[in-house]
Amino acid sequence: MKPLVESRNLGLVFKTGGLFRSSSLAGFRAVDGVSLEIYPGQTLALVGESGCGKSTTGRLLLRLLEPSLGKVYFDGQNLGLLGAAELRSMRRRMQMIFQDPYSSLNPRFTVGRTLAEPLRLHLGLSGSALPGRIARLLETVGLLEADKNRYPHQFSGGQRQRIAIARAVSVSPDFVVADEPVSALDLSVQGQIIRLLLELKRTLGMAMLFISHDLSLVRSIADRVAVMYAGRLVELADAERLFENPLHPYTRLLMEAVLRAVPEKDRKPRSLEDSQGKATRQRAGACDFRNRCRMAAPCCLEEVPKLIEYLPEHWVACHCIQS
Amino acid sequence: MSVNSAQRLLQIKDLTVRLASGVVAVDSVSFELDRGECLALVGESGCGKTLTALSLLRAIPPEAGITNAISINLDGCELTELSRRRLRSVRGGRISMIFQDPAVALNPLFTIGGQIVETIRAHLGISRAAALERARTVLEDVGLKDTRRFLGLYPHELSGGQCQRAMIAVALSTEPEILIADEPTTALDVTVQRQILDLLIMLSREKGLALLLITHNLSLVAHLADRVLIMYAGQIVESAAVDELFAFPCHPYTRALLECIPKLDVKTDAPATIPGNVPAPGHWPAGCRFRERCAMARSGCEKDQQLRCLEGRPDSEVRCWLAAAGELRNN
Repeated sequence: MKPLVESRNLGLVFKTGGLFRSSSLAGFRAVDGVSLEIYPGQTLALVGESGCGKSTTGRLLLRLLEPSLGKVYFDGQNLGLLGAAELRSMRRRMQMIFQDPYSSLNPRFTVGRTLAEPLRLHLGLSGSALPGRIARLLETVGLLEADKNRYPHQFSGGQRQRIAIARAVSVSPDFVVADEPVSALDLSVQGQIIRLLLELKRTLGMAMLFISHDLSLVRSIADRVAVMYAGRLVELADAERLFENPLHPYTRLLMEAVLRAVPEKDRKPRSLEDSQGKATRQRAGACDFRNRCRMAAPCCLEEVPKLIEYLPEHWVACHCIQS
Repeated sequence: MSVNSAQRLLQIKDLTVRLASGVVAVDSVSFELDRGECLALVGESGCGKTLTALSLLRAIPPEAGITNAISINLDGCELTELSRRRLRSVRGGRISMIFQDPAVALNPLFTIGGQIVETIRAHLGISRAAALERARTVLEDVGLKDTRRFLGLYPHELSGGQCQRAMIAVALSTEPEILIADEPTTALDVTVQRQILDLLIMLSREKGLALLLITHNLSLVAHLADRVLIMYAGQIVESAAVDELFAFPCHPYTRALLECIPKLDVKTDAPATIPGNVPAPGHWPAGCRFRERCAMARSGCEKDQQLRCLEGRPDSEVRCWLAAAGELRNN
């Protein structure tokens, strides 16, 4: 199968150190050498902590940000070579759902107006064709037709996220980037939204990049999982392979951080240190995870580990696993 | 477990909050908090958890809602009778609060040190130098070891986890007896959640601080709380010690909340959910307020439900006649 979305060595450098001094490739590498494929109808979960570059990667894949390095192919076409008009028509096929349904919906638009806009812009619908379409959309995401006359503030967080999802799927996209779509919601509502996304994926056949910091959420929705640290992919595999046999020490750390819902008898704080402080600044030619890594060895200081296929269909970037 | 009165720190009887629109949002909530204990108040958004916490500090402005209680007793001191001025010294002094989003709770225009020193001076009335010394101590306590540096930083220069630590430092700086933690980990990364949890465990176990934990996340409760109150639509629907609650959840709402926790160890086709939403205040159904979302609902649930003791479990209560009669035991 040919991938729908493919990135090759994708990178984004934020300039640092003054207006005139920085050359184009010096600075903070938010995303560095990311190569991945997303197949039609499949969900790739992109997992990592805040600031690791996962949202930035999502935006680069949609060309909402211009990459400093590398290429993105969408359905075989290099997005970087498209002109403004071509890109706009391509936008119908790729949509985004944001984390915070409180700020991603226009508070002064009724739900009906919010949903009508992409239909008008991308599908050229107008007049009498709109109400029926909007009613069906609202039904698809589990809302009522009468809700189209209400404003975002009249809905709960979960319902607002349903509206945002309705807006994203209204133009029948082939690919959706969902950036932490349930992190702002209650656990009981998180399940509802994940079920809705699973159902839409099945009925509409859309591919999805599901961005999250929580591996336990990802298990029920992802076909494949990519783990990101400090702008680089450190592990990439089928969801089942990754959960059964996590290879990279960072993936294991993320798994251990998930709290089990079992009361602990012996409660002792494990560590009071602020480990994020230990996440070191990038250094050329070294593994970025070394300071938080239990397996760190001298070789981790000498070379950036490459992402290699350590097991069939299971890629990992770690010197200590590979040796 | 029965506790003698010397250990009881806070006792709340029949706390009710009526919003300005006239609807009741918190309905006759009663509970106790002992010294060094962590009590969790659990429920979905809109259940009235945060309102309960704010109202026990009488921190709801009168134009937004009216708090009524038979008694809010802090170690012998009746908070319902205090003047506004005396109350101010309790609020943020003897009882401190931390919030879900530290980036909003901290003032972006003041350094961390400035905010801690200001809080200390407002409450403890000590000299600037002594306050600065105390600020260093609390920063150290919350794990921001490089105190000199952190004192001079602004909130935007900190990571999410560091911000949360800084807010806890502000809350601890006045030597409170009770810390109210409102969703203290919800906005954070899983790895940082674990660190803030460790910090709260340390404060509660080693420093003997009494914690009122407000959350929708039962995994956090399992690791931190001693006792749990499950709240739904303004009422407490179940109360139990943490071990008992996880081993024998009684109320269908408690069971549903437990089901919703995503599982890392097993592959599930779709995560469990609770259908529908928490009804807004003013739209609560008569009788059991959960019955419209409850898979066990049957005729009889439309009658008003009281908190009842459970057979053989004198310290647990449940507001469900089916659970109290043992009808749901094997489901």
